[in-house]
Amino acid sequence: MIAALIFVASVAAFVQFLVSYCHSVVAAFGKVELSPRVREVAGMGSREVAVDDFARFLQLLHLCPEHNADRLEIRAVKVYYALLRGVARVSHLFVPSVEAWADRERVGCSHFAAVALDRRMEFSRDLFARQAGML
Amino acid sequence: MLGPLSYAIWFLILFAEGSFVACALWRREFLRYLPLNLYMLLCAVANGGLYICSRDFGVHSREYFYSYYSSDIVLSLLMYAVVAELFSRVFETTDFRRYIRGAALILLGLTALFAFVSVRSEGQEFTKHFVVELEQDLNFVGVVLMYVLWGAVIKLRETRIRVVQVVLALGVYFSAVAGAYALRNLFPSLEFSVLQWLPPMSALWLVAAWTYTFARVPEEARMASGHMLVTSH
Repeated sequence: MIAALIFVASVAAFVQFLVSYCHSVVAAFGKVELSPRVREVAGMGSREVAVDDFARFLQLLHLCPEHNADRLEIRAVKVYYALLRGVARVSHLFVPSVEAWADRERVGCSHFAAVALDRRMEFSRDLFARQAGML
Repeated sequence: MLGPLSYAIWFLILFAEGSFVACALWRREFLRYLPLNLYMLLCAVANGGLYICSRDFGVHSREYFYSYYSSDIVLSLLMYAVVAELFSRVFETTDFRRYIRGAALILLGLTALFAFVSVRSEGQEFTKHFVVELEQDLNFVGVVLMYVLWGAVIKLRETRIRVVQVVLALGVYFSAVAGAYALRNLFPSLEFSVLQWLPPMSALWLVAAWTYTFARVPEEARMASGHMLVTSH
Protein backbone atom coordinates (compact mmCIF):
# COMPACT_ATOMS: atom_id res chain seq x y z
CA MET A 1 0.00 0.00 0.00
CA ILE A 2 2.78 2.45 0.97
CA ALA A 3 4.77 1.47 -2.12
CA ALA A 4 1.70 2.12 -4.30
CA LEU A 5 1.23 5.56 -2.72
CA ILE A 6 4.92 6.39 -3.18
CA PHE A 7 4.69 5.27 -6.80
CA VAL A 8 1.65 7.45 -7.56
CA ALA A 9 3.19 10.46 -5.77
CA SER A 10 6.50 9.94 -7.58
CA VAL A 11 4.87 9.74 -11.01
CA ALA A 12 2.88 12.92 -10.33
CA ALA A 13 6.03 14.68 -9.09
CA PHE A 14 8.03 13.41 -12.06
CA VAL A 15 5.57 14.84 -14.60
CA GLN A 16 5.36 18.16 -12.78
CA PHE A 17 9.12 18.56 -12.38
CA LEU A 18 9.80 17.54 -15.98
CA VAL A 19 7.24 19.97 -17.42
CA SER A 20 8.55 22.75 -15.17
CA TYR A 21 12.12 21.97 -16.22
CA CYS A 22 11.20 22.17 -19.92
CA HIS A 23 9.36 25.40 -19.19
CA SER A 24 12.43 26.85 -17.45
CA VAL A 25 14.63 26.01 -20.48
CA VAL A 26 12.20 27.75 -22.83
CA ALA A 27 11.43 30.65 -20.46
CA ALA A 28 15.15 31.39 -20.09
CA PHE A 29 14.91 32.81 -23.63
CA GLY A 30 11.76 34.82 -22.87
CA LYS A 31 13.73 37.96 -22.07
CA VAL A 32 15.68 37.93 -25.34
CA GLU A 33 14.41 40.53 -27.82
CA LEU A 34 14.14 39.45 -31.45
CA SER A 35 16.22 41.41 -33.90
CA PRO A 36 14.58 43.26 -36.83
CA ARG A 37 16.57 40.94 -39.11
CA VAL A 38 14.88 37.77 -37.87
CA ARG A 39 11.45 39.48 -37.96
CA GLU A 40 12.06 40.41 -41.56
CA VAL A 41 13.26 36.95 -42.58
CA ALA A 42 10.27 35.30 -40.91
CA GLY A 43 7.86 37.88 -42.34
CA MET A 44 6.58 38.81 -38.90
CA GLY A 45 6.54 42.57 -39.21
CA SER A 46 5.89 44.08 -35.81
CA ARG A 47 3.52 41.42 -34.48
CA GLU A 48 4.33 39.15 -31.54
CA VAL A 49 5.51 35.54 -31.97
CA ALA A 50 2.52 33.20 -32.37
CA VAL A 51 1.86 29.54 -31.52
CA ASP A 52 2.12 28.32 -35.11
CA ASP A 53 5.34 30.16 -35.92
CA PHE A 54 7.39 27.30 -34.48
CA ALA A 55 7.32 25.19 -37.67
CA ARG A 56 8.33 28.15 -39.84
CA PHE A 57 11.23 29.07 -37.56
CA LEU A 58 12.39 25.45 -37.64
CA GLN A 59 12.32 25.39 -41.44
CA LEU A 60 14.40 28.57 -41.50
CA LEU A 61 16.76 27.10 -38.90
CA HIS A 62 17.43 24.16 -41.20
CA LEU A 63 18.50 26.59 -43.93
CA CYS A 64 21.25 28.02 -41.73
CA PRO A 65 24.56 26.21 -41.24
CA GLU A 66 24.40 23.85 -38.24
CA HIS A 67 25.70 25.20 -34.99
CA ASN A 68 26.72 22.30 -32.73
CA ALA A 69 26.13 24.24 -29.52
CA ASP A 70 22.35 24.56 -29.97
CA ARG A 71 21.49 21.34 -31.81
CA LEU A 72 20.59 19.34 -28.72
CA GLU A 73 18.45 21.99 -27.09
CA ILE A 74 16.54 22.61 -30.34
CA ARG A 75 15.77 18.89 -30.51
CA ALA A 76 14.64 18.86 -26.89
CA VAL A 77 12.35 21.85 -27.41
CA LYS A 78 10.98 20.21 -30.57
CA VAL A 79 9.96 17.19 -28.49
CA TYR A 80 8.46 19.45 -25.83
CA TYR A 81 6.50 21.37 -28.49
CA ALA A 82 5.14 18.12 -29.96
CA LEU A 83 4.03 16.98 -26.50
CA LEU A 84 2.34 20.32 -25.86
CA ARG A 85 0.54 20.10 -29.19
CA GLY A 86 -0.78 16.68 -28.15
CA VAL A 87 -1.87 18.05 -24.76
CA ALA A 88 -3.59 21.01 -26.44
CA ARG A 89 -5.49 18.72 -28.83
CA VAL A 90 -6.60 16.31 -26.11
CA SER A 91 -7.64 19.06 -23.71
CA HIS A 92 -9.36 21.18 -26.39
CA LEU A 93 -12.86 19.83 -25.66
CA PHE A 94 -12.61 18.94 -21.98
CA VAL A 95 -10.25 21.33 -20.18
CA PRO A 96 -9.93 24.69 -21.97
CA SER A 97 -7.63 26.09 -19.27
CA VAL A 98 -5.08 23.35 -19.96
CA GLU A 99 -5.31 24.09 -23.67
CA ALA A 100 -4.67 27.77 -22.95
CA TRP A 101 -1.64 26.88 -20.82
CA ALA A 102 -0.28 24.55 -23.54
CA ASP A 103 -0.70 27.32 -26.11
CA ARG A 104 1.22 29.79 -23.91
CA GLU A 105 4.00 27.26 -23.61
CA ARG A 106 4.02 26.74 -27.37
CA VAL A 107 4.39 30.49 -27.87
CA GLY A 108 7.44 30.23 -25.60
CA CYS A 109 8.78 27.42 -27.81
CA SER A 110 8.23 29.56 -30.92
CA HIS A 111 10.08 32.43 -29.28
CA PHE A 112 12.91 30.04 -28.38
CA ALA A 113 13.13 28.91 -32.03
CA ALA A 114 13.15 32.54 -33.18
CA VAL A 115 16.03 33.33 -30.82
CA ALA A 116 17.91 30.24 -32.02
CA LEU A 117 17.37 31.37 -35.62
CA ASP A 118 18.63 34.82 -34.76
CA ARG A 119 21.77 33.36 -33.22
CA ARG A 120 22.41 31.07 -36.16
CA MET A 121 22.02 33.94 -38.57
CA GLU A 122 24.48 35.95 -36.52
CA PHE A 123 26.86 32.98 -36.48
CA SER A 124 26.55 32.53 -40.26
CA ARG A 125 27.15 36.23 -40.86
CA ASP A 126 30.30 36.14 -38.73
CA LEU A 127 31.44 33.03 -40.59
CA PHE A 128 30.95 34.67 -44.00
CA ALA A 129 32.63 37.86 -42.80
CA ARG A 130 35.65 35.84 -41.62
CA GLN A 131 35.81 33.91 -44.88
CA ALA A 132 35.52 37.12 -46.90
CA GLY A 133 38.33 38.59 -44.83
CA MET A 134 40.54 35.60 -45.59
CA LEU A 135 40.06 35.91 -49.37
CA MET B 1 27.53 -10.54 -16.25
CA LEU B 2 26.11 -7.35 -17.64
CA GLY B 3 25.35 -6.97 -21.33
CA PRO B 4 27.10 -4.58 -23.72
CA LEU B 5 24.28 -2.03 -23.39
CA SER B 6 24.66 -1.95 -19.60
CA TYR B 7 28.38 -1.37 -19.91
CA ALA B 8 27.80 1.29 -22.57
CA ILE B 9 25.43 3.21 -20.27
CA TRP B 10 27.83 2.73 -17.36
CA PHE B 11 30.76 4.21 -19.27
CA LEU B 12 28.57 6.97 -20.67
CA ILE B 13 27.57 8.02 -17.15
CA LEU B 14 31.17 7.75 -15.96
CA PHE B 15 32.36 9.87 -18.87
CA ALA B 16 29.57 12.45 -18.35
CA GLU B 17 30.33 12.76 -14.63
CA GLY B 18 34.05 13.11 -15.27
CA SER B 19 33.39 15.73 -17.96
CA PHE B 20 31.09 17.66 -15.64
CA VAL B 21 33.81 17.92 -12.99
CA ALA B 22 36.48 18.75 -15.57
CA CYS B 23 34.28 21.54 -16.99
CA ALA B 24 33.65 22.92 -13.49
CA LEU B 25 37.40 23.03 -12.87
CA TRP B 26 38.04 24.60 -16.26
CA ARG B 27 35.41 27.31 -15.65
CA ARG B 28 36.81 27.79 -12.13
CA GLU B 29 33.41 27.07 -10.61
CA PHE B 30 34.34 23.97 -8.62
CA LEU B 31 34.36 25.76 -5.28
CA ARG B 32 31.34 27.95 -6.00
CA TYR B 33 29.14 24.84 -6.18
CA LEU B 34 31.32 22.66 -3.98
CA PRO B 35 28.79 20.03 -2.71
CA LEU B 36 27.40 19.57 -6.21
CA ASN B 37 30.81 19.14 -7.80
CA LEU B 38 32.00 16.88 -4.98
CA TYR B 39 28.90 14.75 -5.50
CA MET B 40 29.67 14.39 -9.22
CA LEU B 41 33.32 13.64 -8.49
CA LEU B 42 32.43 10.92 -5.98
CA CYS B 43 29.82 9.52 -8.38
CA ALA B 44 32.56 9.11 -10.98
CA VAL B 45 34.90 7.50 -8.42
CA ALA B 46 32.14 5.17 -7.16
CA ASN B 47 31.19 4.16 -10.70
CA GLY B 48 34.82 3.40 -11.51
CA GLY B 49 35.15 1.35 -8.31
CA LEU B 50 31.93 -0.54 -9.00
CA TYR B 51 33.12 -1.38 -12.48
CA ILE B 52 36.29 -2.94 -11.03
CA CYS B 53 34.19 -4.77 -8.44
CA SER B 54 31.82 -6.13 -11.09
CA ARG B 55 34.75 -7.26 -13.23
CA ASP B 56 36.49 -9.05 -10.35
CA PHE B 57 33.52 -10.50 -8.47
CA GLY B 58 30.49 -10.25 -10.81
CA VAL B 59 27.37 -8.14 -10.39
CA HIS B 60 25.48 -10.84 -8.50
CA SER B 61 28.19 -11.29 -5.87
CA ARG B 62 27.88 -10.32 -2.22
CA GLU B 63 30.91 -8.03 -2.60
CA TYR B 64 29.23 -6.13 -5.41
CA PHE B 65 25.96 -5.88 -3.48
CA TYR B 66 27.63 -4.29 -0.46
CA SER B 67 29.88 -2.07 -2.58
CA TYR B 68 26.87 -0.89 -4.55
CA TYR B 69 24.67 -0.08 -1.59
CA SER B 70 27.40 1.35 0.65
CA SER B 71 28.63 3.67 -2.11
CA ASP B 72 25.03 4.56 -2.92
CA ILE B 73 24.32 5.48 0.69
CA VAL B 74 27.43 7.66 0.87
CA LEU B 75 26.32 9.33 -2.36
CA SER B 76 22.78 9.76 -1.01
CA LEU B 77 24.22 11.48 2.07
CA LEU B 78 26.29 13.73 -0.13
CA MET B 79 23.19 14.42 -2.19
CA TYR B 80 21.60 15.65 1.03
CA ALA B 81 24.45 18.13 1.31
CA VAL B 82 23.66 19.25 -2.26
CA VAL B 83 19.98 19.67 -1.36
CA ALA B 84 20.90 21.59 1.83
CA GLU B 85 23.16 23.84 -0.25
CA LEU B 86 20.28 24.52 -2.67
CA PHE B 87 18.02 25.31 0.28
CA SER B 88 20.68 27.75 1.52
CA ARG B 89 20.82 29.47 -1.86
CA VAL B 90 17.05 29.77 -2.18
CA PHE B 91 16.61 30.94 1.43
CA GLU B 92 19.72 33.15 1.51
CA THR B 93 17.70 36.33 2.02
CA THR B 94 15.61 34.90 4.89
CA ASP B 95 16.29 34.03 8.54
CA PHE B 96 15.51 30.40 7.83
CA ARG B 97 18.94 29.93 6.30
CA ARG B 98 20.69 29.42 9.64
CA TYR B 99 18.42 26.49 10.56
CA ILE B 100 18.92 24.56 7.34
CA ARG B 101 21.93 22.46 8.38
CA GLY B 102 20.34 21.48 11.68
CA ALA B 103 17.03 20.65 10.01
CA ALA B 104 18.83 18.54 7.38
CA LEU B 105 20.69 16.56 10.07
CA ILE B 106 17.51 15.94 12.08
CA LEU B 107 15.65 14.81 8.96
CA LEU B 108 18.51 12.49 8.06
CA GLY B 109 18.51 10.99 11.56
CA LEU B 110 14.74 10.50 11.48
CA THR B 111 14.93 8.82 8.07
CA ALA B 112 17.61 6.42 9.31
CA LEU B 113 15.55 5.72 12.43
CA PHE B 114 12.45 5.01 10.33
CA ALA B 115 14.46 2.62 8.13
CA PHE B 116 15.83 0.90 11.25
CA VAL B 117 12.37 0.50 12.80
CA SER B 118 11.01 -0.85 9.49
CA VAL B 119 13.56 -3.68 9.23
CA ARG B 120 14.60 -4.39 12.84
CA SER B 121 12.82 -7.77 12.86
CA GLU B 122 14.78 -9.08 9.88
CA GLY B 123 17.42 -10.90 12.01
CA GLN B 124 20.34 -12.37 10.02
CA GLU B 125 19.74 -10.33 6.88
CA PHE B 126 19.34 -7.12 8.86
CA THR B 127 22.21 -5.15 7.25
CA LYS B 128 21.08 -6.08 3.76
CA HIS B 129 17.48 -5.05 4.40
CA PHE B 130 18.55 -1.92 6.26
CA VAL B 131 20.67 -0.53 3.43
CA VAL B 132 17.94 -1.23 0.86
CA GLU B 133 15.26 0.32 3.08
CA LEU B 134 17.39 3.37 3.89
CA GLU B 135 18.15 3.87 0.22
CA GLN B 136 14.45 3.85 -0.67
CA ASP B 137 13.47 6.13 2.21
CA LEU B 138 16.21 8.63 1.36
CA ASN B 139 14.99 8.79 -2.21
CA PHE B 140 11.41 9.40 -1.20
CA VAL B 141 12.41 12.04 1.36
CA GLY B 142 14.43 13.57 -1.50
CA VAL B 143 11.23 13.90 -3.57
CA VAL B 144 9.44 15.57 -0.64
CA LEU B 145 12.37 17.93 -0.06
CA MET B 146 12.46 18.90 -3.71
CA TYR B 147 8.75 19.64 -3.57
CA VAL B 148 9.30 21.88 -0.56
CA LEU B 149 12.22 23.57 -2.30
CA TRP B 150 10.21 24.03 -5.46
CA GLY B 151 7.42 25.64 -3.42
CA ALA B 152 10.02 27.97 -1.88
CA VAL B 153 11.36 28.84 -5.35
CA ILE B 154 7.84 29.92 -6.41
CA LYS B 155 7.01 31.67 -3.13
CA LEU B 156 10.29 33.60 -2.92
CA ARG B 157 10.14 34.43 -6.64
CA GLU B 158 13.54 32.95 -7.34
CA THR B 159 14.65 34.11 -10.79
CA ARG B 160 18.20 32.74 -11.02
CA ILE B 161 17.92 30.35 -13.95
CA ARG B 162 20.77 28.15 -12.76
CA VAL B 163 19.20 27.59 -9.35
CA VAL B 164 15.75 26.92 -10.84
CA GLN B 165 17.06 24.42 -13.39
CA VAL B 166 19.32 22.61 -10.93
CA VAL B 167 16.39 22.22 -8.51
CA LEU B 168 13.98 20.99 -11.19
CA ALA B 169 16.48 18.56 -12.71
CA LEU B 170 17.07 17.13 -9.25
CA GLY B 171 13.31 16.85 -8.73
CA VAL B 172 12.99 14.83 -11.93
CA TYR B 173 15.86 12.59 -10.80
CA PHE B 174 14.52 11.94 -7.30
CA SER B 175 10.97 11.25 -8.45
CA ALA B 176 12.14 8.86 -11.18
CA VAL B 177 14.36 6.91 -8.77
CA ALA B 178 11.75 6.85 -5.98
CA GLY B 179 9.11 5.70 -8.49
CA ALA B 180 11.40 2.94 -9.76
CA TYR B 181 12.09 1.65 -6.24
CA ALA B 182 8.38 1.77 -5.35
CA LEU B 183 7.50 -0.15 -8.51
CA ARG B 184 10.17 -2.72 -7.67
CA ASN B 185 8.58 -3.19 -4.26
CA LEU B 186 5.17 -3.62 -5.84
CA PHE B 187 6.36 -6.02 -8.55
CA PRO B 188 9.62 -7.73 -7.47
CA SER B 189 9.65 -9.78 -10.68
CA LEU B 190 10.33 -6.58 -12.66
CA GLU B 191 13.62 -5.95 -10.84
CA PHE B 192 15.81 -7.31 -13.62
CA SER B 193 13.66 -6.13 -16.52
CA VAL B 194 12.74 -2.58 -17.40
CA LEU B 195 13.27 -1.30 -13.86
CA GLN B 196 16.99 -1.98 -13.83
CA TRP B 197 17.40 0.77 -16.46
CA LEU B 198 15.55 3.49 -14.60
CA PRO B 199 18.15 4.44 -11.93
CA PRO B 200 21.07 4.62 -14.42
CA MET B 201 18.94 6.53 -16.92
CA SER B 202 17.94 8.92 -14.13
CA ALA B 203 21.60 9.41 -13.23
CA LEU B 204 22.36 10.10 -16.88
CA TRP B 205 19.51 12.61 -17.01
CA LEU B 206 20.81 14.41 -13.93
CA VAL B 207 24.36 14.80 -15.17
CA ALA B 208 23.15 15.81 -18.67
CA ALA B 209 20.70 18.40 -17.31
CA TRP B 210 23.25 19.88 -14.90
CA THR B 211 25.91 19.94 -17.62
CA TYR B 212 23.50 21.81 -19.87
CA THR B 213 22.68 24.30 -17.13
CA PHE B 214 26.27 25.05 -16.17
CA ALA B 215 27.56 25.09 -19.74
CA ARG B 216 24.79 27.15 -21.34
CA VAL B 217 23.33 29.32 -18.57
CA PRO B 218 25.55 32.06 -17.18
CA GLU B 219 25.64 32.59 -13.42
CA GLU B 220 23.99 36.01 -13.71
CA ALA B 221 21.14 34.88 -16.02
CA ARG B 222 17.69 35.71 -14.67
CA MET B 223 14.16 34.90 -15.75
CA ALA B 224 11.51 37.53 -16.25
CA SER B 225 9.67 37.87 -12.94
CA GLY B 226 6.46 35.84 -12.81
CA HIS B 227 7.65 33.73 -15.73
CA MET B 228 9.24 31.12 -13.59
CA LEU B 229 7.14 28.03 -13.43
CA VAL B 230 4.25 26.42 -15.16
CA THR B 231 1.86 26.91 -12.28
CA SER B 232 2.71 30.57 -11.81
CA HIS B 233 1.00 31.75 -15.01
